[in-house]
Amino acid sequence: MSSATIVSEAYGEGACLYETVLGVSRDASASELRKAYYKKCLTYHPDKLSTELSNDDKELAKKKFQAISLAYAILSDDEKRKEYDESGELYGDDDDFATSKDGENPWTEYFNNLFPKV
Amino acid sequence: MTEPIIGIDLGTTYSCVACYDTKTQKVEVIESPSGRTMPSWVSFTPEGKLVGMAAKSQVASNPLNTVYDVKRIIGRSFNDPVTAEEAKSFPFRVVEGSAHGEPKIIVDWRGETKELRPEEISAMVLAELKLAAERHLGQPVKSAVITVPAHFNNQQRQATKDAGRIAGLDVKRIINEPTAAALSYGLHAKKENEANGTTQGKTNVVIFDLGGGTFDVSVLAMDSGVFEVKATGGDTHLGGEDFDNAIMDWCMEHIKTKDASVYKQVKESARAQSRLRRAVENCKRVLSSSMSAEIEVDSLVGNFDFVVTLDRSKFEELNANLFKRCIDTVKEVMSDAACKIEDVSDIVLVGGSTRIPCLQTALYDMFNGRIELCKSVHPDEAVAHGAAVQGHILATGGSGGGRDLAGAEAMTDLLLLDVTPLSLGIELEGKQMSTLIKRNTPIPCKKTRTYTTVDDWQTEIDVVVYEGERAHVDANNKLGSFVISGVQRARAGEPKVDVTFALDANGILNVSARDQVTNAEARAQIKAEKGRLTAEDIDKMIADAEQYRAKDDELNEKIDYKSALEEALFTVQSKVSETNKPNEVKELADLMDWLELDSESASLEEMKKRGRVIEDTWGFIVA
Repeated sequence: MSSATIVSEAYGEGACLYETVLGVSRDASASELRKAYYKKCLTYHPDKLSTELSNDDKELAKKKFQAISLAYAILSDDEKRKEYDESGELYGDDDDFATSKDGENPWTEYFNNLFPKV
Repeated sequence: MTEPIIGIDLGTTYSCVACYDTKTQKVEVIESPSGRTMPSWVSFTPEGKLVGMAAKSQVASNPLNTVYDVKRIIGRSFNDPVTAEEAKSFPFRVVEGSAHGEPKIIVDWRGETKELRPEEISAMVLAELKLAAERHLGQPVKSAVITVPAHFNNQQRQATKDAGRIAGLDVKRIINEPTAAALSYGLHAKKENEANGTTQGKTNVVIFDLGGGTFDVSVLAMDSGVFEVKATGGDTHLGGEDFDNAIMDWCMEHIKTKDASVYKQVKESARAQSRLRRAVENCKRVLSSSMSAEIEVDSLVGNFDFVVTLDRSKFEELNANLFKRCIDTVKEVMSDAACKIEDVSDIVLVGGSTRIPCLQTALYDMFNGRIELCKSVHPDEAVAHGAAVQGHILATGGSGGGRDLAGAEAMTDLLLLDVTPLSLGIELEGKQMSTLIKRNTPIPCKKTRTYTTVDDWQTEIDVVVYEGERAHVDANNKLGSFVISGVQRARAGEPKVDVTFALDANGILNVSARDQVTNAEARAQIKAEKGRLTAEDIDKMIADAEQYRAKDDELNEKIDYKSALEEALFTVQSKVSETNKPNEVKELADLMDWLELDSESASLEEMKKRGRVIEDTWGFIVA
C-alpha cells in the first residue's frame, strides 16, 4: 500500500491533498496548513472519536487520520510539496531505501551480489 | 458519571499521582501518606511490606530487603549490560530468573525468601498511589495513564503496562514524560494568556526533563488545543543519582587516602554505603542554593566520623561530562525537530535535577540568553499533572474531550499528537535494517513497503522486526519475528511481498505481510519477546498481591493502633501523675512496659485488649 492507496482508500481515487484531505486552498500558507491539520486531527484522531461510532466508521476515521497525517507530512515539507504541486501525484516514499543510513547504496550492494567480483 | 482515569508519574526515585476532581473541576496532585511525591521504594520485613517514605526512612536498618530504582532495570533482560551494572551497585540481590532470563530481586518477606520481578515491585508502588487516589476521590479507581521516559523501548513500555495490571489498573495509555509535562505547561500558559488578555499563537516549546534516573528532551508545537510532539529524545540512564554517584566516588577516594582499612569496611557495608549516600544526596540539594556544603556521617563505620566539605565548583567539575551530555542531547533533538534556536518560545524545566544552577546557566546560554527558563510548572509534579490531563481527555473521550480543562477558551478541544520515539523496521539480507516507520513519526500511523526474496525458488520469508536507529540490526532491539510461507515460487528478486507496519495510539505495533501474487498472508502483534509476562504470570501476581494486601492492611492497622495506644498512654500519664493513685500508677507502668517490650510481636487483638483496659480505667477511648 503506497501513499496513493492510503489517500484513495480514505478519500477516493486521486483526491486532492489540499482541498479534499486537509480542506485548504492550493496557495495555503504554512500556518494555514498547520491549522487545518490540527483541526482535522481534532475530528479524526482515535482519542476524539465518539464511543457510539460503528466499527466501520471507526475504521474509516482511522484511514482518514492516516491520510491527513500523510498529507500534512508532504505539504509541510517544501520540497515534497513542490513535487506534488508539479506532478499532482503521490510517489512511493522509499527514499530511505535509496541511501541507507550508513551511506551505502543498497542497490550497489544488490548489483555487487548479482555480479560477484572476478 | 464517567469513570476517573488517574495520572501516574512512575519515577525512578519518586512517584506522584494526580487526577481530575469532578468537585473542583481541576486536575489535582493527590497527597499520599508519604506526601505529594512518594519515594519509589518498597521494603520487606518479617511482618509485611512498607511502601514510600516508610520504606526509604528505614533503609539503613534493613538494606538487603529495601528495594528501589527498579525502573532502571524494568523491561530489561538479566544479561543486559545495564542490568549487570545496576545489580552491582544495588545492596539487594538481583539474580537471573529461571524461565525467561529476566532479572529477579531476592528479598526476605514474612520469613520466606521471595523472588520478585521488577514489574511486581513497581506494581506495589502503583498500588499505593492508586489507594491514595481512591481515598481522595472516595470511589474505586480502575484506570490510569502512566508515564515513561521518552526513550523507553517497547519492552520497557510493556513491562510498565504489566506493572499497572498487577496493581489492578487498566492502563489506558502510556505517555512520554516530557509530553505529559508539556500538557501541564500548555494548560498553564493558556490560562495565563487568557488572564493577560493576550492571544496565544503557535508556540514551540522545549521540555527539558532531568529526573532522578532518566533524562528526556522533547520539542512540541502547540496551537489551538493541539499539542504536537515534533521530536523527542534522551538518555534512559542519566539523572540525579548519577550526580550522587560521582560525589560518592569522590568521597570514597577521600576515605581511601585517609585510611585504607576504613575504606575497605565502608566498601563492604551496605548500611554504611546507604548512610553515606543519603548524606551525599542532601549535600547535592544544598549546593543548588549554597556555594558549599558539608557531607557528614557520624560513626560511618566503627568510630570513624566522616566529614568533608564540597563546594559547588568541585561538584560541577565532577559532573561536567554528564552536564555536557544533557546539552548535546538538546541539540540533537532540536535538529530532529527541524527547529531553530530562534523558533523556540519557551524552555520548560521539569524534574528535580533541573534545580542545578550550572545546568540552568548552560541552557540559558545555549538559547543566547534570549528567553527566560520557565519554572512556572512544578518540576516534581508537572508530569503526573499532565498524565491526569491526558487521563481526563481519554475519560471524557469523543468530541469535547478535555474541553472543560481548556478554561475560558471553551471552544477548543484538547488533543495530544504523539510520536514514536524509535524507528521501526525489519531485517534485510546482510543484517541490514530497513526502516518502515522513522522515529518521530506521529502515531497512529501505517506504512507499507514491498520486499522480495534473495534465493531462487524460495517460498518462505522470515520477517524479523527491530526498533532502533542503527544501520546494522545487531545494534538495535529485536521485537519479534514471524514467517510468511506460500510466497510465489520464482527466481530471486521476482516475488513481491508487501510488509505493513501499523502502530496504534498506544504504540502497539501490528505487522503483516502479503504476497502480491499468491495472496499468502501472515501477521503478528509484536510484543517484546524475552522475559515478557504471560497472562497466567500476571494473574498469579495479581492473586499474590491480593492475598498479601489483606495482611498488609492488617499490619498498617496494627501500626496505626500502636501509635494511638502510645499517644493515649502519654495523655493518661499526665493525668495519673496528677491524681497519683497507687493502683493506677502500677497499671500504667505495666502497660508502658508491655508496649515497650512485648508489643512488637503482639497481634492486633492483644493490642486492643490493652486499649480496652485504658478505656475501662481512665475512660479514654483509643482509636
